[in-house]
Amino acid sequence: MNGYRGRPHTLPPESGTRFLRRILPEHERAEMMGDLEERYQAKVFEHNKAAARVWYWIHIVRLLAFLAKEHFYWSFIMLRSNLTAAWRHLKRNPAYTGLNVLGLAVGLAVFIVIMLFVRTELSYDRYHANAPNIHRIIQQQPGNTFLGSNLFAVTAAPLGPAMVRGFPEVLSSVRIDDSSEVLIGVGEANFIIKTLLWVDPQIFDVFSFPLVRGDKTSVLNDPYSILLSEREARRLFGGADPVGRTIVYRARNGASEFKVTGVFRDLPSNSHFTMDVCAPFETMAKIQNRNLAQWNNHSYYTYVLLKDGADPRGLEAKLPALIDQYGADRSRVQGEQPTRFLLQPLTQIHLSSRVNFELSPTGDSRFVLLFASIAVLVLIIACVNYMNLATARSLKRAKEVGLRKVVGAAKGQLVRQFLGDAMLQTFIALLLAVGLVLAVLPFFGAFVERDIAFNPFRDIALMPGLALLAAVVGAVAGSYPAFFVSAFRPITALKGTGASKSKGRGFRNGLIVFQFAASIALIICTITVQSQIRFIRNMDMGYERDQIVILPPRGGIRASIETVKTELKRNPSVLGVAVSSSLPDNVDSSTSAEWPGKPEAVDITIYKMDADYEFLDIFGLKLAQGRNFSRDFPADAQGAFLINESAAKAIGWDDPVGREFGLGENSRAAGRIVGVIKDFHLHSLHLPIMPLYIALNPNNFRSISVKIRGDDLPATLAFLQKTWERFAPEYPFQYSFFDEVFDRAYRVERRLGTVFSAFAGLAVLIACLGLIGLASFTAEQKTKEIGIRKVLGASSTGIMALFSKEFIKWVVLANLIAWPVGYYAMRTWLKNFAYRIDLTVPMFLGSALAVLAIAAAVIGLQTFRAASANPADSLRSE
Amino acid sequence: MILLSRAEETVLLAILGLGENAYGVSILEYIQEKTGIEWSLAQTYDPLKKLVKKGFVVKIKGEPTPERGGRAKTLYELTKSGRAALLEIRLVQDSLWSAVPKILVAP
Repeated sequence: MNGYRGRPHTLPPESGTRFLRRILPEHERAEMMGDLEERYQAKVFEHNKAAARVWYWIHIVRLLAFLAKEHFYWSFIMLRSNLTAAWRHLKRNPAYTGLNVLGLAVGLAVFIVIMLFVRTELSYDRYHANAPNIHRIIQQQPGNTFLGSNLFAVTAAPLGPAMVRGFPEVLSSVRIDDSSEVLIGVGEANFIIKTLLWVDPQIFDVFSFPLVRGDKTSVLNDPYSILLSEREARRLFGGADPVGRTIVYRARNGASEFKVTGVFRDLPSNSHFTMDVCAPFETMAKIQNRNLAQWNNHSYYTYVLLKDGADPRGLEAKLPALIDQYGADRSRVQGEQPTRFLLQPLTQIHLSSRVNFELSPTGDSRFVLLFASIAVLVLIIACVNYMNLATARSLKRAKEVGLRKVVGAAKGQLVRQFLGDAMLQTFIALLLAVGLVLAVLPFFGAFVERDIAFNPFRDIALMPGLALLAAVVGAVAGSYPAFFVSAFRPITALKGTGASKSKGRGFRNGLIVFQFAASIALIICTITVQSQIRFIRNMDMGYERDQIVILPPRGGIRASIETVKTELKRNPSVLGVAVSSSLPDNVDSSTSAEWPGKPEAVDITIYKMDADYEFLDIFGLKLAQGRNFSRDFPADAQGAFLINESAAKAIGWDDPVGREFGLGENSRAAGRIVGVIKDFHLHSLHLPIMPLYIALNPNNFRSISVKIRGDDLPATLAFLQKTWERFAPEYPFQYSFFDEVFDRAYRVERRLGTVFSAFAGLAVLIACLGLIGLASFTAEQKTKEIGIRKVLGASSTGIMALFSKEFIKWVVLANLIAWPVGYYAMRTWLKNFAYRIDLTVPMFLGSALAVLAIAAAVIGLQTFRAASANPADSLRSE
Repeated sequence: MILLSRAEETVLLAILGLGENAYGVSILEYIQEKTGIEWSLAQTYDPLKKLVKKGFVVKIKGEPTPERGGRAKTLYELTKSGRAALLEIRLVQDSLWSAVPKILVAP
């Protein structure tokens, strides 16, 4: 082949050629590559091959720079022009822009707030370096369903160490036991510590709890060492150095001295348990006289650290053999499968509810899912709103589009322009939304009881997320208007308003139907949840809950309870005092029913509590048969029981009064049943009424219930406090009202009610924004039609009715979609309650009417002006 | 008056001078020969593109040659308005130069 000036042809570097072929635009490829190759020949001729290669590469780069500059230059010019057009359009229609941006901003703000909440919920316990390898051992006890679940978070003390010894893949184990509200002394002063955890020293190796003071390998080596969180260290010692100081732990059966050996950083709020103070696990056993070698005392939390890549399921399968090896009894309930031990991943603890005896209240994955769905729904409604308004408005921009097309704009350019329009508005909305989020987040955080952090400038990970969110929302919201508008035919578009008036109407109406369907469904949910909450509040639980003050038996109060009772009853405002191991709204202890002569095969789970003579009277519990515990019957003090009707029915006794019940020493009965109480709701209404017995035992109690007269509350409370201070001077006065305690059980439901109300309100608000825009736009478009109708004798109201009819039609259609959705969702939710309301037609009609009324009002207001205009004005211009 | 950058004017003149064989490399070499300055190819393409956009030159597909790796040349040719533009520039320049005192003219 002949090359440059008769010399053989030298091929330029292959990689360069291949690269150029890939990046050069096709219509310029031959020219540029050819020129470059030809020049390359000259360079080889003038210098040598190596220099030519360098030259070749340098020129590829220069070519690229040139192409890039050219490309971006024109894109930039177009972008600037589009942004200018968009900006002018926005400025010219402030009301329309306001509606649009506001709708988007509200939607975005709701979405961001909820996603921050979801992020917080998902972040629980993930901060531990070992998080993926930490598991908690939980038990499943088939047949032993307690408060609706047969999973238990507690295990026996020897299990953890046995697993470390028995399985090489278990690197370490940590046992935890908790003592809440403990009294400690520092010098002369006394403090209540909310949560004291007794932990194995390895806790600082397994979990990532950084120590501010002390060395993690040795801080808990001394049996009487104690560690404080930074917050507690400040509270107890002020600014002074706590390390080396003495803390006196006051238990019921004596005091022990501990030495502070370290300070740990406060646990992040996204931890599934709290820890204010910790001390060695084994010391707890010593102080409280517990035997840590027992396999049948399931009262401790066991966490294990596994080797990387260990198989938790495989380990689970090996656990029964290990436990049998120690001779522990795994069977719990006769005729049921033996207990199963499960490894629960640390990071799943927070969101997997329904495990009994958690260290702290956990979250609820269903709640998180519900929140997330609502967030997405509200965002979609906001997008739909934008689409609707933008498409309707685009008819106004028909002339601009027509002109752009005439001067040569390609369809793609127009699509990009209108997408850019949407993006611009979305980004303005995003700024507004961030402001809204910052304003609302503290309240929302308090509402869901979480610390939700939001700092868009410091939280780097959030910035691209927000930008992406705005881009996606802009793209989704802008897509339909963009394609709709760019499809305008220039001739009809330029002619003016006649352009494609009916086009896209079907789609727009579909969007309205969707928006209102979503709003109505949310309103149905709101009404149902609120009704159920009202139902719970007003339901006769079988016990009284007003004017009862609950006191915890602290300090000396427990020991001298009889004196305390007498002292309290001296005040005429105190109507009565009772002590019990549980309160009637939540009996949290159960066992198997026993009585002499019970057949082997019968196994009845029965809830139990201890109470004194006054308990029934204080809470107004009614008797169905027999009598209450009484001092007139000295035999009662030897052992007496009350059972509820459900228990009588479960056992099959028609005449329980006088029967022997319970098992004491030597298989003798523990006492006699003296009465049958009418069934009352001993748990929240989620659960059906279960069998229950109340044993007469005035010495085992966890709360003191004081029935008071309601007239002079402050004086009565002051009297209670004075009495408290006489018997437990070292403890701060603590009290609660029973009706508040009761309400707390339905906190989740009330929260749900508020969530639905708020979001239903927002959804309706956004939908109305859309309706305002559409109605005013239609009215504007039909000015002339209205004028002509009026000239021909139509009344203002007649015209308003005419306009409203069109929109109302779609709202009615929306109901047909929303009703089945709402019905299905709420029926599912109501199944959580053993006692629930029925879904009734008025609830559905009510939501329909509410939305219809709002929609009619909005449309009416918007069309009123158009309808009442003087036809002479609207028809004059032509 | 028609506004042309110096580079565009130079390239336009080169195309005119090269006649029927004006393409990337030949334009570049022609300029190097006349002015002693070696332009990069990108520097040549930039004014060429602008001239095409302004309608002063048109692209014509040429013959492939072996030293180009068998790729076709893209030839450039002046349009009527291109010639008119050059002529106008020449006239303006001449009239401007004629007013300059003789002293400034090269000895």
